[in-house]
Amino acid sequence: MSFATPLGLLLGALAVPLVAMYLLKLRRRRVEVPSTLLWQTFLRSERLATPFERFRRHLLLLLQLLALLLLTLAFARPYLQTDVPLARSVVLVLDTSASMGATDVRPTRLKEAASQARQAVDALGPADEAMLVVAGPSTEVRVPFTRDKGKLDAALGAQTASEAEGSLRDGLQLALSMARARGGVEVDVFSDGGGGDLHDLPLGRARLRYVPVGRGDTNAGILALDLRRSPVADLDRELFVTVEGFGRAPLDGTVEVYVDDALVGLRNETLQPDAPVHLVFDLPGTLSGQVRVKLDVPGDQLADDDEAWLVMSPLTLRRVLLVGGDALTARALSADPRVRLTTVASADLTPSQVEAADVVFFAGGTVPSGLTGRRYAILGPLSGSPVRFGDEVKVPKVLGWERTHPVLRFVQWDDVVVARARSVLDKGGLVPIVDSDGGPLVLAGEIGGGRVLQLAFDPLESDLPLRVAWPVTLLNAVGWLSEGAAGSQDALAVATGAP
Amino acid sequence: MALLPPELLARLERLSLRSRKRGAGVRAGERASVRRGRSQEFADHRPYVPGDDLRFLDWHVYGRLDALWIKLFEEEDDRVVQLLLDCSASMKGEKLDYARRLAAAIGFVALGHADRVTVAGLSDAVQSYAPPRRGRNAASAVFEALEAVHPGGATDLGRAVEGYPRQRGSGIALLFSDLLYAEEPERPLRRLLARNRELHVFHVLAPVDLRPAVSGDVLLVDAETGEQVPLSVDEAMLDRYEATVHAWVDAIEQTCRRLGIGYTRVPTTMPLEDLVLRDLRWAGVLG
Repeated sequence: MSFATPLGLLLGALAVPLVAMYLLKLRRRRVEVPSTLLWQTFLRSERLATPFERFRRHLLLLLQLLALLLLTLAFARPYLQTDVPLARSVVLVLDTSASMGATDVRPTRLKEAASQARQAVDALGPADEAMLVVAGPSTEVRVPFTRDKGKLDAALGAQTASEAEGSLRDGLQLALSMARARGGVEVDVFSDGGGGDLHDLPLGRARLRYVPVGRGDTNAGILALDLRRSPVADLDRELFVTVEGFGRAPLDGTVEVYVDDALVGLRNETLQPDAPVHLVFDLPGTLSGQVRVKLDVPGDQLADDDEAWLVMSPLTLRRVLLVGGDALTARALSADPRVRLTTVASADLTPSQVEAADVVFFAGGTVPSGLTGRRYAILGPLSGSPVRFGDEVKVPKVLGWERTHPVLRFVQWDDVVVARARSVLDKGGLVPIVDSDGGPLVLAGEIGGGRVLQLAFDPLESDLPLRVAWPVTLLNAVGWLSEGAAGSQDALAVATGAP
Repeated sequence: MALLPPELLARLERLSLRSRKRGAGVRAGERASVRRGRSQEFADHRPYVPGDDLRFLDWHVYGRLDALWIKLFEEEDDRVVQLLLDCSASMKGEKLDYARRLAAAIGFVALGHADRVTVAGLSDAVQSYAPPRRGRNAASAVFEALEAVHPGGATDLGRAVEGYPRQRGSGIALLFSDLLYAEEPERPLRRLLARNRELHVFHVLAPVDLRPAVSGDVLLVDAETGEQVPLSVDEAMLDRYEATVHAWVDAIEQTCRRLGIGYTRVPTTMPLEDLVLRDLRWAGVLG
């Protein structure tokens, strides 16, 4: 024991005058008795019967001394210097990546990990606090530091395995940064170890505990799936499949490709650990429908990543009518083998030609009336346009464009130079998708059930036809106007686990 | 006769000191002796042995039974009544005064029946001693001897008995004491009993012995040893002390009964007349 103010102990010296005063005060009256023999006998028996009798007689002095002792201690401020366990701070990192859905541990690895985490929560003392970090495709602090075990239990029970690759590294980094900020934090990681090598993470003062979940690591999965047009055969398509083995040993597997449940491709591959294998399957242009890719690896512990799907659109030829167009435009439109281009001078245009075309491009002349419900593009401020134009705008500077609009995909507009454009007085129900300081340069929208694309400038008065962006924009326009989707997109693919 | 009032003396003349045992005195007295003697009171027969005085042959028995039997007669004997007063400092005051008067009364009774009476003051030694005297005429001397006993010194009854002169013939020792001494009373009482045919203890106790009138913080000083005992006394403690004293007195009485010693508790608050004329007669000490 130590004292914060040892000088306070001097107060204890008051005990001396206290006892002296007590003794001086205690003057006993002398009484002579014939003998004290019986008194001594009596007192001996009294002390045996009531051993505290002598203290009781001095009770007042004892109380005074006790009060003085307490007062002295209060002034001296005693304290004990000892190692007292402080409240623990624990960060629970729960891996919710797709591999945690494996069922080698019943019911799943994630449930088992949550159960282990619950045990860690139960072991917390009343003053301990814990935080739950979920490391899935994205890292999230699901429960901030709390002493509420019920809250942690509820959050652990509500976790589900994601269907995408997780990032245990991110979760661990978050936990460790938390540990650095607070100091003395324990980090408990509940994972199947699928996060890769994490040895390079700086632990600092944090105490890391890894709770492995799962019995093995035999897993292979489909990492990527895409459908592209074949570069050698215009109407054929190629299916790209990327598979990978995640275990520590090579895995032999079979990749099967089905189109509407008909097997159209089969490969046997040996998957080396952490070495993706890229496979290409040629699909004839006549095929369409649901494409299912199945990876079959014996002993695979996670089935969720063994199958992937996409929808392959049927190849349809699009009838495009170019009215009054130039050679560059015609060539750009005919670059797509699915496009059957017909050109006609504006003067020779007949309604039947418009009727027979899927998409009409007006590049000169006057836009005829009666196009309601049709799908067409007007390449320039032509008369007859649903948009009402105003004065000429010289060298308008592009301010921005709708990058996500199907017509503008894969197109850069920031350095496109336009010599002259026309200001837009009335958008005619269209929406600008390329803006400049002189007003909209490109507008698009739906009118009367049809689709309309409108340029506020003549392409020949810009450098756009000289750019790669021009054919891409035109083909995008063909796709959007004809089907409502980008022409370069052959399939609708959604990444696994993506919202 | 300052010790006893004349009225009491007059009433004492009709009493005698009773003995529970028979002794062998040196002079003919009024007490029956264990020795068969020359009185006219027949006691018993025994066979004749050569050397017996032929005057005591019972010729009637010889005529009837043709056997020689000697007639035995009671011999009346005197006694030595020893009045032993504890004169230690603890007896100072009313206890010694009461003991003197009680001893005087019993001595007066004894002198009236041809007993020889001695007086001794005992503390840790024999402080005073008056040799045996006989007859009523010696009463004054006995009383003076009693008055000459002064308190002082510590109590060592065993040592005092050692120094006390042995008496010839049978005797009865009457000890007047508060028995307040450190040694167990059994040993000196045994020693005293061994030297006398009979012993009777008058246990003199004053109120200060039973329940002293003290309260609060007091320092009790032993009158004999000067030993001091600091005390904070209250009524509850006095009650417990009184119980202790009674237990001690009972234990002494039990010891006396066990040793065949007469015992009489003598509180100084009791009138002497009541003690002598009523209690001692009732207890068979006087008759």
